[in-house]
Amino acid sequence: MADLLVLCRFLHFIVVLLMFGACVFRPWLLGAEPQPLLDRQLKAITRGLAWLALGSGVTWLLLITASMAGDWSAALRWPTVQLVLGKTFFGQVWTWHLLLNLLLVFGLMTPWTALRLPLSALLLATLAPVGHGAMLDGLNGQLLILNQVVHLVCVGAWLGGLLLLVLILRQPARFALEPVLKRFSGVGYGLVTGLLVTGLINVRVLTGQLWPTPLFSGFALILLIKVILVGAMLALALFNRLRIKHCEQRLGTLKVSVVLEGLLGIAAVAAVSLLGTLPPMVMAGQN
Amino acid sequence: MLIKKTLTTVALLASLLGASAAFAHAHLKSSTPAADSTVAAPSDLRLTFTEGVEATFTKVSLSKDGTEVAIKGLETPDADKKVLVVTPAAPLATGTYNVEWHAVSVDTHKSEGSYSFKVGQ
Repeated sequence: MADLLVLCRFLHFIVVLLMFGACVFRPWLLGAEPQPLLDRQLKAITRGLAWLALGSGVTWLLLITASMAGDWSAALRWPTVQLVLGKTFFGQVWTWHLLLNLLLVFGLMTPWTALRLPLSALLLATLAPVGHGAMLDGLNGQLLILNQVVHLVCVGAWLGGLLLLVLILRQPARFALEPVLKRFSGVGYGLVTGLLVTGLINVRVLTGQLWPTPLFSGFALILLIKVILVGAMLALALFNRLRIKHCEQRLGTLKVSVVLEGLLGIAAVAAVSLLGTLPPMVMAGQN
Repeated sequence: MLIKKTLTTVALLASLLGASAAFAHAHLKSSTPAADSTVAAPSDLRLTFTEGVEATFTKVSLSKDGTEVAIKGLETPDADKKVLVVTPAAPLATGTYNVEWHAVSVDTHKSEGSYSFKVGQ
């Protein structure tokens, strides 16, 4: 049950992050003018992601229901699912989350594009309160959730931006690559700063330490793996930034490194999906 | 935009670094009657957790000298859901009680534990 929940969490997070990032980077990188081919591809991808998000979101709810009730069959008993939705903090957040997801799925069926970004942003924001974000109460709890929103926005924008970049690199003749890449890396500095700072705040608050110990077990180990993955992403980004001049001539390397950076990002999200289910601190004698 | 972001992060840092160490997953912080204590018959048991718990999915079983004692209700009266009030169906008679709890915290994690106390004359 726990393994499935980790998998479902991962799938849902990655899909929602990518959707938001692709929506937010489209006008940043290419301006408002329409790009028929790219926009068509992007819409098809977003549509697929929105359905996937809905599916994984509902599965997440069912798995949480089974987990809370301690019984697999509870996942399919509507009264129990209703109890989760109505009576628990997770359920109250999730009701809104699934509603937004449904709206986004319908919104993507219409030619109306204005609602896409706000809906995907709200969808991402409603992911922040579930998991360890709900741990503290009062003002500190709300700040921790806000911190998590900023973190998710930075991560999502970065990953979704990479997805968009891959689409752009697949049709290099249509775009002037250098300004697009410069814009991407310019925004990237802000995103990386944002995600590092908010990530560190998260670690400090969740573990009560600047870095959790012991270093090579449980929460700390997976956190370490995640940080190494993000470090590798940063190194790749820096490598590409330094060689931005005449990038048209080494399109192959660029494409590979962007895809690799994206895969590292996906791996980092996978690590964090596992983190979300582990206790940041184990108190002696209690479990 | 950048200034706003910086200000937000600084404010967050300042307020959160002061936060005391917290423990995700609800742990039992204290209880009334306290663990291993001998008390006069209480009308209810109060379990205080380190974080909020979902009363709907939290289970508590109370047994006296090995036999299950019926429980009328579980509720979390406070807004932060940290105190779980367990009301037995009938007043508790003299004897040794064992409390076994399985909590689901507001961040959906599960934890469990047990303790015992005595009801004296």
